[in-house]
Amino acid sequence: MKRIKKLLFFIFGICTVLIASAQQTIIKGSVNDGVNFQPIANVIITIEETNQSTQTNTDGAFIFKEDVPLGEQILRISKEGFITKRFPIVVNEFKIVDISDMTLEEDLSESHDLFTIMLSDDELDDDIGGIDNISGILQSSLDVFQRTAAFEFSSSFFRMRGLDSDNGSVLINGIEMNKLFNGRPQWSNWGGLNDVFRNQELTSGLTPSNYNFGGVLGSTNINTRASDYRSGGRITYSSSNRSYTNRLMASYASGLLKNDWAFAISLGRRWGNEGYQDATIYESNSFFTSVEKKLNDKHSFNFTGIYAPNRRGKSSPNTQEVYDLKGIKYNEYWGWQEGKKRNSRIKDVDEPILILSHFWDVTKKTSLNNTVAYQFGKQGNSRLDYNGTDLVNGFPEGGGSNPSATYYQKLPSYFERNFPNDLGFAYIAQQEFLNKGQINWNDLYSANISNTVNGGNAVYALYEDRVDDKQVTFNSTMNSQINEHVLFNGSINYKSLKSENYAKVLDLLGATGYLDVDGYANDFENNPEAIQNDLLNPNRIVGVGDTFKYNYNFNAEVIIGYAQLQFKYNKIDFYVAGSITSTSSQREGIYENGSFPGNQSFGKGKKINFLGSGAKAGTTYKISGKHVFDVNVGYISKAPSIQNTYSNSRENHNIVPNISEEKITSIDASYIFRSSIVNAKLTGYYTKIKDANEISFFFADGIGAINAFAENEFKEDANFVQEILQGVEKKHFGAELGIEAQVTTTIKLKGALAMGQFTYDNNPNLYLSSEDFTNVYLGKSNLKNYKLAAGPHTAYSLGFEYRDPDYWWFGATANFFSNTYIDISPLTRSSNFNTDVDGQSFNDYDQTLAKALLKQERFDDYMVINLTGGKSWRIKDKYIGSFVSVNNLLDEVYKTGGFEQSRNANFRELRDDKALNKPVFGSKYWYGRGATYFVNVNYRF
Amino acid sequence: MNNISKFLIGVSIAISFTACVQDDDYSVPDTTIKEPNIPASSITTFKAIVERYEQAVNGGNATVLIRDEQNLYIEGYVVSSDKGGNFFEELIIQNKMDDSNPDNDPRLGLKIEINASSLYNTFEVGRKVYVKMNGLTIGLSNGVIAVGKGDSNRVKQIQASEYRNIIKRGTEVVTLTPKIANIQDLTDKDENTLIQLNNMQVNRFDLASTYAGESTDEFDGFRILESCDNRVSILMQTSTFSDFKSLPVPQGKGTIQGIFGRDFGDDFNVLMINSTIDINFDNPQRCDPLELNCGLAANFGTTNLFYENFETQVNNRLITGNGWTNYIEAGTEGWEAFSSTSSNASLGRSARVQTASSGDVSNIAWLITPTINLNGKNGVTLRFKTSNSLADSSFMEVLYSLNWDGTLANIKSATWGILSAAYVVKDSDSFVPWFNSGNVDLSCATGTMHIAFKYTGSGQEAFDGVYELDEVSVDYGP
Repeated sequence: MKRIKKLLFFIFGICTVLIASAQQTIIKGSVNDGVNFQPIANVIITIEETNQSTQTNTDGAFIFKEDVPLGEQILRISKEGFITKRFPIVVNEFKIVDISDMTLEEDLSESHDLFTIMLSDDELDDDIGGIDNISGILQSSLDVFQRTAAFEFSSSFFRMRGLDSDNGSVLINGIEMNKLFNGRPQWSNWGGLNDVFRNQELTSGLTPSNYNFGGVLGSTNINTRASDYRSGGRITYSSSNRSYTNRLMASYASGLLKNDWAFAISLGRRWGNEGYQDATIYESNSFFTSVEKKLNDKHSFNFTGIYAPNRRGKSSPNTQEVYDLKGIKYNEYWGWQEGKKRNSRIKDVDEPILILSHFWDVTKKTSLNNTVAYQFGKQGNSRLDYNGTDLVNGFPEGGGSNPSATYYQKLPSYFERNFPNDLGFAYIAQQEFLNKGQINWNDLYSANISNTVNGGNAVYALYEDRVDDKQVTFNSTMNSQINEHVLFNGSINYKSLKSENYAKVLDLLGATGYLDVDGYANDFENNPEAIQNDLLNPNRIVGVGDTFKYNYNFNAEVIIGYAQLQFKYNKIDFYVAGSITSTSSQREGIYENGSFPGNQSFGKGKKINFLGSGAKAGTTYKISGKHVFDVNVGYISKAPSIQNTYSNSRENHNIVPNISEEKITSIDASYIFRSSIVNAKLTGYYTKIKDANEISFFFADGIGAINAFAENEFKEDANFVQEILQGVEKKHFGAELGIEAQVTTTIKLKGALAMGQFTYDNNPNLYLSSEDFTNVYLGKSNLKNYKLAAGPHTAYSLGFEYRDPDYWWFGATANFFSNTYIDISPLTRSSNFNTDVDGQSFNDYDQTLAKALLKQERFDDYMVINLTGGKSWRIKDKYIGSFVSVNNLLDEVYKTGGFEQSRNANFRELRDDKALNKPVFGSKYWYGRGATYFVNVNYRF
Repeated sequence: MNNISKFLIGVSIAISFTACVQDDDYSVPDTTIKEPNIPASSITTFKAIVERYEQAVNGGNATVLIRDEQNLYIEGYVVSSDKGGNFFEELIIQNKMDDSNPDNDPRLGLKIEINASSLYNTFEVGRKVYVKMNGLTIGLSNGVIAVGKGDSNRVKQIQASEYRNIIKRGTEVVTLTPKIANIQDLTDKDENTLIQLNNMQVNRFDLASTYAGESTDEFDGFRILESCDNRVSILMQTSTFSDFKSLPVPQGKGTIQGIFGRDFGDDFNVLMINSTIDINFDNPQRCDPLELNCGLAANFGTTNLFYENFETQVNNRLITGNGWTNYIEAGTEGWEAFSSTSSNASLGRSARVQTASSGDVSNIAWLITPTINLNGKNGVTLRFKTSNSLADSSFMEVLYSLNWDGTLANIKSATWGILSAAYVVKDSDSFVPWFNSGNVDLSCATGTMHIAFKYTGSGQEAFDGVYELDEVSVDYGP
């Protein structure tokens, strides 16, 4: 042991250890940056044996006064972004150990940082399958498991504990950034600002945060206070073939200047004509500024402005048939126009954030942080409309055909089904798809131009679904060290959101106007006005830039109160926290929808109120420095997101039937082992969600049974429907293991394991709505024990790092994923599945076959190998760093997610489709990327 | 400050990096069409194509495949539009832009079967097109001559990926002038062409309907269009997938243009519109006949006033005696007696009008009862039975007059109305049974009445049906 200590001492630098006599046993010291010798704040100092820990203050100083263990001890000093160090010391009773000027070296590999960014860049944002819901909450941290999950699992859309990212809360300066619409943070809002977003405090799971109650996945607070940045600048250039091609970032922070001002600015640009998938353009500029003025020792004001407009081309999920023909880079959303690739689905996020904070150290022990934030701007998602019509004798005629090359009637499978004896047709369709297989913009223009010449309107139009949010948030957080053992945290928070939702014409593709009616509304006999999108302006011809289709606002208000007490003792820490949340939301129709006239859609709808609450408690028991136990229990009841409250907000005020607060119960227990070589943590968890809702939209064939359920005159067997799943229960349980072993001074072995089972835990209620019928109850959907589409339920990683004293390093991991499941269609698990149009069961219903048809698809297991490496050079007090990573070195082809198309909604349709070699309405999938690279160089000064 | 200046240098590098992303500034693509370069020698007439089909039929084949080695094109103008959804996966072209009809290249139309929707986006009405016939099959599809892919049995659709190479657009887009015609004059040569009918209206019994949105409409809705000139009618066929299926039919009278064709089962002629704009029935003065409609009585009268079962008549001779007036207004055929025991049997001996092979351009035949005095009688009823055979578009009406003086000369000038409550065999009824008229109540009329059975047809194939009549009985009381 002694030898190791000496070695460690030798490696990690020499520092002064002063020992002096005192009344009590004290360990104190300070930590400086190893390069510029500036003090580092918020470094975590831990006495390994007892697991007592404290943090350095702004002068880099720390002190242990209570229950200091005697004898040979090891101090671990760690901070995110720095290489953790361990210092051996000897503590004698009634002596002061003063270990000043310890140094920390920055972790130049910065891999955590790169991966975090890649994660938010990758945020696949398709509204269809809910795959956008990858856990952005995966953040790097000092926790081995969490870090591995963030580094290695994120590209497989691994979700922590199988939970949606709305279970984790992301804050900037104490202001929660999760959107009220869906509860998820919009990562693009601060993309490209990595340099200035590295001051993060992460609490995982239920463990207490100093900022808010948090979700069951914890909370992350990003601190952008100008004086907290180390002075200096950095210029970074990166190149990749993942989402963007180029990235250039520059930032500079002044540190606290002598005049008590501090400022930080950062600029970034990420761009590329194409990422890994075809025609996924990327264009983003990022601006950041933070200015702080310290008025006196007690008061300081800080202003932060963040602006990161981001445009990117989306890529499509595809059926296996399409992948087999076109490969995993294929994207149906684009086509050639004048020699350029034009993507019809662009996501455009442009939401600046302004934050003004007041830091007030009321006393030495109590601080108050008051913040007001304002976020405004727009989110747009573009797509093609192909149903433009002309008014003939008061009624719309016309419309085009689906321009997508993957429209089912254009693919070989369709011809194989319909012309099984004429496979030549399928062959022709296949050749056509192989040779072209993209949107033909020229045809769209030429159709529009020809119709315009004949006095008509646009048949095809490019438009975007817009969400223009304006949100004001006030937050006041208090932290008070009541005594040496007790810390109080509390906050009150108020949010007010006005969200404008509408569709906007972007491009009429050669035409001059578009007739704003709903060609799908077909109940002309009973309601001739049903086709009107806005009864107040019927049959309006709209031009580029005009609002059309739908237009409504959401107004929402949230008030949150939260209080927490944390107790820290020698052997045991514990905490208890509670919160209460009042949420109200109201829809306000600007348009009066023809299918839902009057107060069904126009004006202010009913105001809906929810009262949520939360309670949690936990304890950490330190048997010794090596062995620690940690247990947390929590209960959260929260308002459903706006998205899951309104069943068809584009057209009416309807809310989900029997809606109530969502209830989450969660418990986890961990065992932590630390030795000088091995660092490990094993966690078991169990989370139960109740009363959740899920709303989805799709075109369904085979819903004739609706007649029987709705007892009305509806006589169609196919319709565009909203599917409302209400009262959903989900069960998430499993175990996580993270382990690291520093086998030599240069080689570290790493391993992580996540094993979980995430299932539906009841048979929730299923309702269907459309323009023709509202909230028709189809009974229960038999979902119990079906697996949740939550990424791989099982993932593990093995790897090593070699860190050469000469400032270069290299690492490799092998990552294994299994138990990834498809997102099932609840409608086909409902009574609609076996019910004929007369309300009776199909006469050819076959229980055994039905069971086989409804079996949930489990994707193939796969392995992904990732490499990282880098080198850095120090030139005087400047750094040049380089970093290279290769993901999926072996170019493994694997599915990361997918969903069943609900189009075949009943037994007969599904049976007939699945009987085909290539189903016409097969499931759609997302594939992981093949081998990709990321190269990064930076210069720091 | 040194650091700041370095930073600013970095920033300016960043800003100077004006690498553009392909996005957002797309110019309108050049969509102009170039006239395809097709030598005149490669272009043949519609007539030649139709003759190839007719040859094949004469040779016992259902279809013919064009397998010429030389390129063979036809040129024509698009007359159908799937914009309103009334045409689906088909394009109808005709060779003339108007009603010209030269002998060497007579006015004809063809249907092209294509497995693609929204064809109007490419082939708008009036667009000149060239169709490359090599490799295409000609045959009959739903009763009209069609071209497409196919085999020896039938014409199949040209696939979506191919049709742009087969049907080439010319630069010309013309304003089509439809052929103005009378319904009874339309022949199979007019199929797949644009026809205009003047002075038309929707039959009064269909006025409450939509184009094709009734619960009884399957695949297509059929509405009776009738001529105000001569009451000749044709069915307007509208797809239940058309955009305008749920619109009410126009209520007035006027002109209509549409594509002349056959129904799906090739049973009768139809007219199909591209859009409701093709109908201009804005004259509110309809030409509905005078009607007497006291409904049907529960029972017929107990005392007979007039009865005829034609048993005493002579076969193939005009009906005479028993007070009948047998008047041939047009043509050479009138109501005559017949008897038959075939599946299309008579009721013993019955009366009929048969115009097939008459060679007549028009046949109108009346059979009028003697005077029926309604005065002072309660509960007068009329009963009769009708049947038909291949009615085609010819039709039979049951009329009454209260002011006819009984002379042949004044038949046309007298006022005739329709006894609407009477059921008269329809075109769509089976030829086998005889249909009861019901007990037609005449009690809401007074005075003296003549009842006429009027046949309208011609010797032309599409208009030469047989109508049969028997057991005419007028009763009254108690």
